[in-house]
Amino acid sequence: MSDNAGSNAVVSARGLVRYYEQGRVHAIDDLDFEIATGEFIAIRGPSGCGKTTLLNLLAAIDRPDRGTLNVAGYSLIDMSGAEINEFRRTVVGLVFQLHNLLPDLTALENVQVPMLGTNRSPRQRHRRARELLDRIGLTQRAHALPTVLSGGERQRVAIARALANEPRVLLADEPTGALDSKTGERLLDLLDELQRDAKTTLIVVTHDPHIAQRAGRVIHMLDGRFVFESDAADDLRM
Amino acid sequence: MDSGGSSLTLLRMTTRNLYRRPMRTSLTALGVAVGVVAIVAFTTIVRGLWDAVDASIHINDAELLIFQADIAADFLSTLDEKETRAKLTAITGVENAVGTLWHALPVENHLLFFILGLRLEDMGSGGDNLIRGRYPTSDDEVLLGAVAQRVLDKDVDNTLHIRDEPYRIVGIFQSESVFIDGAIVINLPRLQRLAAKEGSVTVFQVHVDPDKNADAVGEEIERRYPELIAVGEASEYHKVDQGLVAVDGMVWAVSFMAIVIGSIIVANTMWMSVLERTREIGVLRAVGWSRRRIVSMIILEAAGVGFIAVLLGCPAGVGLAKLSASMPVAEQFLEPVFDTGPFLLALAIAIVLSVFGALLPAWRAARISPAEALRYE
Ligand SMILES: Nc1ncnc2c1ncn2[C@@H]1O[C@H](COP(=O)(O)OP(=O)(O)OP(=O)(O)O)[C@@H](O)[C@H]1O
Ligand SMILES: [Mg+2]
Repeated sequence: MSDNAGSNAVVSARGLVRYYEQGRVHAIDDLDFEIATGEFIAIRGPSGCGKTTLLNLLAAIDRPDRGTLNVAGYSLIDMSGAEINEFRRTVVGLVFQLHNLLPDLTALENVQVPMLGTNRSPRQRHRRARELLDRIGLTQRAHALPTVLSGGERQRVAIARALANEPRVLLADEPTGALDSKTGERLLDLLDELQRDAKTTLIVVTHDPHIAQRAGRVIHMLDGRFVFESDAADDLRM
Repeated sequence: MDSGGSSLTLLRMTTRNLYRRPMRTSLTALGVAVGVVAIVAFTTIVRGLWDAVDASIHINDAELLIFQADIAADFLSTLDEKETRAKLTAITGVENAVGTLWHALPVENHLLFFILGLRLEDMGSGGDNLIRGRYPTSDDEVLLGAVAQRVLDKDVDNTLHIRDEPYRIVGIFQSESVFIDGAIVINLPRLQRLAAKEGSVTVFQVHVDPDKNADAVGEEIERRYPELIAVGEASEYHKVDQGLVAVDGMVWAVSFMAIVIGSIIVANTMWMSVLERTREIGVLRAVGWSRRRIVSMIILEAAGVGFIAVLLGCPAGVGLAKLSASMPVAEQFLEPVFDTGPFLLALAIAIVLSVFGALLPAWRAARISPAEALRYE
């Protein structure tokens, strides 16, 4: 369905369906799509059209009712519990609309959370978290608790956490939703830069056209379906 | 700061979570600590009882205590002094047998005092426990055990009244047994008259030939004379008295109660804590934490509460045991023993009950679906 898609697809979906309320709510309604490695995709659409549901399916924290979904070689339809944990830990990184940092842990510790249970030693986890905080410019705030960080700083920590295990796909659900536009812009600069450096595939749900303009592809959703696709330039013209 | 020392570990997360609600953690730990206090106080006192019984059996280096068979309590044993001595000395291996009458009477302004009747010539036989004064030489002279001396606040050369009759204190002794040390020792015929038990004793202390096995001699006595019971150590004491067994039963009952109540308290707290953290646990699941790791986190937290409870409860338990043992009457026969056993028991019980209490909340936490948890703000 897209020129960008090919044999190097990191995500591919066929007949993807997710219903709620005994089938009355068609949150995801028969989607077919592919996403290539390294793409930057923006997903737009009105509230309730299924954007978060789609990200949840891609992150394996929700299961489709029908269809096939493959992400980075994992078939998300029939994974065991252990595979699901491994997938969540190593393949995807998640940035939520609200930061969802653990309130009792410092910035540095929050970044280490996804690395518990990996084969990194405590010292390696610590070093990796340090590096990430350096990269997002929060070296000075490493030992601050989320409550004393600003909204933008918290979201940056959340991004560092999402990147902890070097995910192949970074999923972000309105990461700038709670931020003012200037802070949001800077956060997007950061995501952009991180994605280009690490060849990570970036899928961002957003209402903000300024953000969508940075994406390679913009997918518009309505009632659980993709209504049309545009490249970023088209999107800005609309 | 940049060392592995500040690395995040499950244990560190646990302490952070416990510290997040210091009041709740403390109150829960306090609830569990009540059980710890009871367990420590009871078990140290009961240990003291066992030790004292054992020391009483081996008083003056005797190997066996001989009681009347088929009695409900040691105090009720009644043996004919002459006849029983003859029976016992007829057994090969019995070196000597000393008859003792046990009695309890009000003394001065104390409701209850343990009185031991021993023949003058038997006092001090087999071992010399005298710490002051001398042995009595007449009916109206008595010895006081060190505990009795302290409780009565009397000493050598003071006068003591039992049933309005005056006795002169001529010596103070100290043995290994708090029971014996809480007693007044008087001449046997005098106590037999006071107790209206002429010719009777309660028990015989038997010294066995050094080259003979005391257990075998005890068995031989019981075989030859079915009307007698031989007790060689505290664990056999149930043959003549159910007191220790009953007290042991109470310790288990108290421990069981502590486990049940403590588990419920921990379960309640951890359940609330899990519900409160639904979203956080959802996040942990979403970033790849396994159910097992979530369960471990909850159980570790509960174990932490149990550990704090032990830290709070043990000193209080020691205090309670000491206080109980210093109360009137109790001070005459209670002497808690503070070895490591009761503390290890309390630690084990506190950890086990906490973990047990955390099972249901942990199961609840493991069932949290990340997608659901993240939907609710
Ligand atoms: N667990 C659920 N139970 C019932 N209905 C659900 C559930 N999750 C999502 N839905 C419904 O599915 C539809 C899509 O929801 P979703 O959260 O994906 O929308 P969205 O595009 O992310 O909206 P928003 O922009 O407001 O975040 C909505 O109608 C929502 O009510
Ligand atoms: Mg949404």
